[in-house]
Amino acid sequence: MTYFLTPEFHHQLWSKCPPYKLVAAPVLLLLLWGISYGDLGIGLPGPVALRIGSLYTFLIVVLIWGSYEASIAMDEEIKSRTWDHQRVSAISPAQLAFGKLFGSTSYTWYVGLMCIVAYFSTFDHAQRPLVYAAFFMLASGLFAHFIAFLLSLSSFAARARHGAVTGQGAGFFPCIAAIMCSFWINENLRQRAVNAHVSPDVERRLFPDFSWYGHDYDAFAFAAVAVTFFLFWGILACYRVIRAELRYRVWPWVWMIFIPSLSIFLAGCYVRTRGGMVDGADAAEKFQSVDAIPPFLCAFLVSFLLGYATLLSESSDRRKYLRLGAALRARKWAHAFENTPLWMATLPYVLLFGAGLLYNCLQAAPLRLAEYGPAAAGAFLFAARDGFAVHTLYNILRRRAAYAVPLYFLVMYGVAPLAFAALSGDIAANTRALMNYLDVGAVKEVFYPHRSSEWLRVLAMPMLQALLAALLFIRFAMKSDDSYPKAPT
Amino acid sequence: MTIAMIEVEKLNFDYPDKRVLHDVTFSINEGSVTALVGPNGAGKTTLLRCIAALDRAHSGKITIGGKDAADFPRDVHHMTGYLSDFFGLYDGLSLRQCLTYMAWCQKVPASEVPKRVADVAEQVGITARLEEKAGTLSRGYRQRLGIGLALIHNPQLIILDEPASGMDPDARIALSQMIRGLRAQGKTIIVSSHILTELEDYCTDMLVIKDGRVAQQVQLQEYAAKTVRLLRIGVSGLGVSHMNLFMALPNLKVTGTENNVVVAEFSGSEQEQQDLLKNLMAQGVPIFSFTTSQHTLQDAYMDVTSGRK
Repeated sequence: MTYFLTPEFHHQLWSKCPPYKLVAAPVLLLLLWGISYGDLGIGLPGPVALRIGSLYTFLIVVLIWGSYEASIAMDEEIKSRTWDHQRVSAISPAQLAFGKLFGSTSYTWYVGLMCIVAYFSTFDHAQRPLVYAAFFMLASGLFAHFIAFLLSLSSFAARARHGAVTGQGAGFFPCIAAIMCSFWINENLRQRAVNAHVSPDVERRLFPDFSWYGHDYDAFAFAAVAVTFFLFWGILACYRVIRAELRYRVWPWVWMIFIPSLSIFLAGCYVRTRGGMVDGADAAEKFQSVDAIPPFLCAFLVSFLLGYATLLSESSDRRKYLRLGAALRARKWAHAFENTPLWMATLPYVLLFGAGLLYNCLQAAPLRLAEYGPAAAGAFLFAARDGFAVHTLYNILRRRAAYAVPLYFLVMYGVAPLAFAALSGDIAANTRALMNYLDVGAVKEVFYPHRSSEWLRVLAMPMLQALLAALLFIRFAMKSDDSYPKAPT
Repeated sequence: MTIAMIEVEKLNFDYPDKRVLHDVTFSINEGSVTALVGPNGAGKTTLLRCIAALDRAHSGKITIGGKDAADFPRDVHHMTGYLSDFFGLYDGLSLRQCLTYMAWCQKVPASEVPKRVADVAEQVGITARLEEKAGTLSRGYRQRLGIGLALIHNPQLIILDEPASGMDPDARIALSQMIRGLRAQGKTIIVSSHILTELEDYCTDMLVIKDGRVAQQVQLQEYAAKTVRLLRIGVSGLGVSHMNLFMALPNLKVTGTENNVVVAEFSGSEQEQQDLLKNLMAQGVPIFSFTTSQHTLQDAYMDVTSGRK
C-alpha cells in the first residue's frame, strides 16, 4: 500500500466522506454558484461573481474548516481513547502521519478541488501566472493543514509531558496560526499571480525578479520553491513527531539539519548584490556593506529564536536530563544524543553563527559591535530568565501551567513595563530612586534587551533576573531524589 | 524446556513526581497464562503498558520474544495484542470496518483480511452484529470488540487489562473459554483483573504487584501441590464420636462445623484424600456429601498480601 492509500487514510475516508456527504457537496456548490452566476443584485458579471464565490468557498472550506479538521485529528483519537490501538499496531509513522493529515482533510479537499476548478474556469485561457496561482491555492491549503496538524501534535505531546491527559481544545490556537499563514499565501501570492496574468508589464511590477545570494531568480518560481521548501519541512516535522509518539528512538538530527537550512535560506535573501567595504563610510554603513554580516546576523537570529522557542516548549521533565547525564557518563553517545533537548542541540548553531558574526563585525565595524554586543548578551540573559521561569512554572503548576505561562509573558513583557513606565512620573519618586540606586537608568533596560555601549548598565538587571529565576528553578523544580538509577535505559 | 516470552529486568518507571515501578524483575514463559494481580495503584497498568512498548521506562530492560522493547518497539507491537483497561472504539464505524481497519494496520495480508475478520468475530461472539456501528454496542459487546481488535493479527503475546469488566455472566464464561482456547494454541497471555475466581479458571501463573514491586510470582500448579485443600464432609447425625474420629485422622485439621457438615483442611495428596474417604466409609460414618474446594489463586494472593508468605 502506498503512503497515501494507507489504512489510516481509508479509516479517515470512512469517517469523513460518507456517501451522502459526497453527493451533498456538488449539489450545494452548484446551487450556490448557480445563484452567484445569475443575478445577485450586486451588479457583478456572472463569471466575476462565480470567481469570487468559488474563491471564498475555497477559503472557508479548505483553509478554515480543513485546518480545524487537521488540528482535531489527534484530539479525536485522544478523546475517544483509540490512540493506543494505533500506537500498538504495526502501521508505520509515515503511513499514520500522511493518512491522518490527508484523510482528516479529505472532504474539504473534495470540495476545495471543485472550487479551484470553478475558480479557474472563469479565466479566458491558461497563462503561466495562472498555473502559479493554482499552485499557490493548493499550497496554501496544504500549508494550513500541515501547520495545524503539526502544532496540534506538538501541543498534544507537550501537554502529555506536562501532565495533561486529555486533548480537549488543543487545536484552537494551532488552527488560528495555520489559517493566518495560509491566508497570507493565498491573499498575497495567489492574488498577485492572478493579477499578473493580465499583462507582462503588470507581472514584472507585481513580481520583480528576486535576488537570492546575489543571483536574480524568476519571482514566481522562487516563491513556489520557497513554499515547497516550507511544505517539505512541515511534512518531515509531522512525520518525526508521529515517529516519536510511536515510541521509535528519535535523535534530533533532522532538527540539526533544519536550523542551518532555514538560516541559509533566509540569509540568502539578505545578501547584498553590490556589497564590499566602502572607504570613508561611517560605522553604520560599514556594518551594512560587509557581505558576510547580514547573512551571519540572519543565521544568528534564526538559530537564537529557534533555540529560545524550543527552550520554552521543551519538556520540563528532569528525567530526560538525568538520562542525558547518565548516558554521557557511561559514554553511550547514541543514548546521549537521543536524550539531548532540542534547545541544547540548537546551542552549537547559536554559538557558531554568533562567532561568525562577531569575527566579521570585529573586522569591519568594531564600534557597531560595541553597540550591539550588550543587546545580544542581554537577549541571552532574558532567554535564560524565561527558560528558568517557565520550567519552574511547568514543574510547580503542571496542568495549570498552560494558563500561567502566557500570563507570565504578558506580565513580563507587557503589563510590568507599562506599569513601571506609568510609575516613572512624579507619583513614583520612590520607584525612580530605586532604579537610580540600581543604576539601571531607563525602565526599558529592566524588561528588554537594550542597544547601548554601556555593558554594565544594560546587563545588570537581566543578570539579576536570570539569577533569581535560576534560584527559583533550583528551589522548586530540582528536588533532590537519589532513587533515580545511574544507568540509562 | 521452557522458553521465556517476556523477560523484565530491573525495570524502573517514573511519572514526573512519583516512581511507580521499582526494580521490577520477572520472566514469563511461552504458552503460560499469567494473572497480574495487586491492589489498586500498585502499578499493574503501567507495567502492562511498558511490556506492550507503549510507555518507555526510565531504566531497566524488557525483552519480548527476544526483542528489546526499547530498541524494537514496533516489532513488539506487531507480536502483541493489547487491550487497555480504558480502551475506546471508532463509534462511527461498523464492527466489520473496525476489525478490517485494525487488520490493515497490523499488516495482515490483504487477501486474508475478510477471513481473519470473520474468524475473530466468531471467536469473540460478534458475528451477528458485524454491520452495526460500534457506537451502538452495549458495554459487554464493546469489550468483546476490543478483545477482537487485540486478536486480529493472531499475536503471540496477548495482554488484557481488565478484560471482563462490564461483561455479563454469559460473556465472562465465553471469555474464559476463549482464553483457554488461546492457551491451547500456545499463546502467551497476561491478564490483569480483580476478579480472582475468574482468573483461577484459566491462569497457570500469578504475578503479584504491590507498591510497584514484584511481591510474588507463583506457578499455580506447584502452589496447589503444596497447599491444603478445604474439605466439607456432610455427616448425618453428626455427633461427638464422629468429631473424635475426624480429629484423629492424619493430614486432616478440623476447622469447624456448619449444621451437619464438618469443615476441615486436608494437606495430603489426591491418593491420600481418596484413602481418607474409603476409611471413613469403612468405619461406617454416614456421609451424605463430600466436597473439595481449592481457591489456589485467591489463597496464594491472600498469602502474599497478608504477609503469610
